[in-house]
Amino acid sequence: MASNGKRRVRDTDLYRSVFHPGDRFRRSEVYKSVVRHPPPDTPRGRAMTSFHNLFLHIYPVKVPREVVGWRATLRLGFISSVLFLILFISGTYLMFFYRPVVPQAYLDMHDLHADVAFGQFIRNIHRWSAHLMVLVVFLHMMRVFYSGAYRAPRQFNWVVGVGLLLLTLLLSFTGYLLPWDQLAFWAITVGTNIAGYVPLLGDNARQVLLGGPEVGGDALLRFYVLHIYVLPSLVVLLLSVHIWRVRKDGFAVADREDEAALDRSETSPREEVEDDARA
Amino acid sequence: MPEPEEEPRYRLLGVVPREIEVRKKQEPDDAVFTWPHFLIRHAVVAGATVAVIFALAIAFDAPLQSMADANRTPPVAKAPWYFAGLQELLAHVHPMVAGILVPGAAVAWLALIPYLDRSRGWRIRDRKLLVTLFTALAVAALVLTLVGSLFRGPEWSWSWPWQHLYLEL
Repeated sequence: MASNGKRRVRDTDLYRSVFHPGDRFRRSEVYKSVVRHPPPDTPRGRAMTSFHNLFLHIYPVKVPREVVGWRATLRLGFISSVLFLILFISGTYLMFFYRPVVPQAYLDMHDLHADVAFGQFIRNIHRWSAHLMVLVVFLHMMRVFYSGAYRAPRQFNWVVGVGLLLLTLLLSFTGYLLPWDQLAFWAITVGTNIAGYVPLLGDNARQVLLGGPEVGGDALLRFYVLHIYVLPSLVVLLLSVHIWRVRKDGFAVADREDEAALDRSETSPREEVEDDARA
Repeated sequence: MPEPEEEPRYRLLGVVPREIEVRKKQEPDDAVFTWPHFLIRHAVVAGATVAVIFALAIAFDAPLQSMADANRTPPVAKAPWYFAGLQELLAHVHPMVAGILVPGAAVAWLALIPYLDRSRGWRIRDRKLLVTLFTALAVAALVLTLVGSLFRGPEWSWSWPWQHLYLEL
């Protein structure tokens, strides 16, 4: 009797609008037209959440339990991707206020600090994210190496990862020149001097990179185009392949569990017999 | 009159290696749904990363020195910190070796690691030689980078970082 009364109260519009304010919205035609999956509170609903969302296709519907804990991956690859996204967004904002021309580039940097809303703040975000990304990508590589996650069938993904590391370094290096201050100019001068020692090509390699005998307006334009278009496009391409391969090859930690189980079954026949007996 | 029953016929479909059988048996039912278990953790890590970057951006300003001038050489011209190790190496050996051969060979070796690794297991004790080589390379790179970025002053002379730090990020 009492429970019947309770249920009746819970079913009233007033109760639901106070304690489940999203319900009415979720029943609306607009919501149902956007979100096509059932509520994710059943196994079917959770699987459908992945199937029906373009952005979630990057994830498998289910992941090994070990991957949910942070120890298996330390989340370093994911953090690198987040940093790349932060760099992409903050970099887009900076592009509105920057012209890659000498000496305008430097004057624009000054204006960015003095006159642009959040200019200095967004530049800070861009710079620290870039440094941190180099560091995190390095750490990610170390983690993958020490946990042996590059082994078959993931050999090719390791190679893609090495490519991404190089691209990260180049992205950071090309961005370093853009402020066109003394720090940028001399760091790039020192860095590109090395290119003069490339076998056979010699100083020609350096000239192609800089567009002239030394760091100047042509180098600034080349580094700008590489930094905002060529290298990010390559990173997006390789990163897509990299993540797609993780998705297809599966998480290394799951294989390790399989391998360990295989080892056990091979080394202790008694356990196997017991398993069979239980079955 | 009842029809004679047909003889049952059997066909061999294939012989399956034992590992596949075992793997199938262990198909991980220990897996959990990506939504919500994995995604929520990713959301938290993404939020924490943004928070760290915001904190850094509020606490420290990105440097902006005077306008670039090819005629005004600074006391020490340093490459960005991640190339400071190479710059340190350049001070000791021929530029062709330090700038091209060493980094080129290191990157080529790094890329080939999975194909060179012929050990049986993934554990460190199964791949002692490779782990030793990799660790040696990583430590060498770390030491060179630290020395180049923190311990070098005017004209690449030795300089203690607590006396004067010639490092700009």
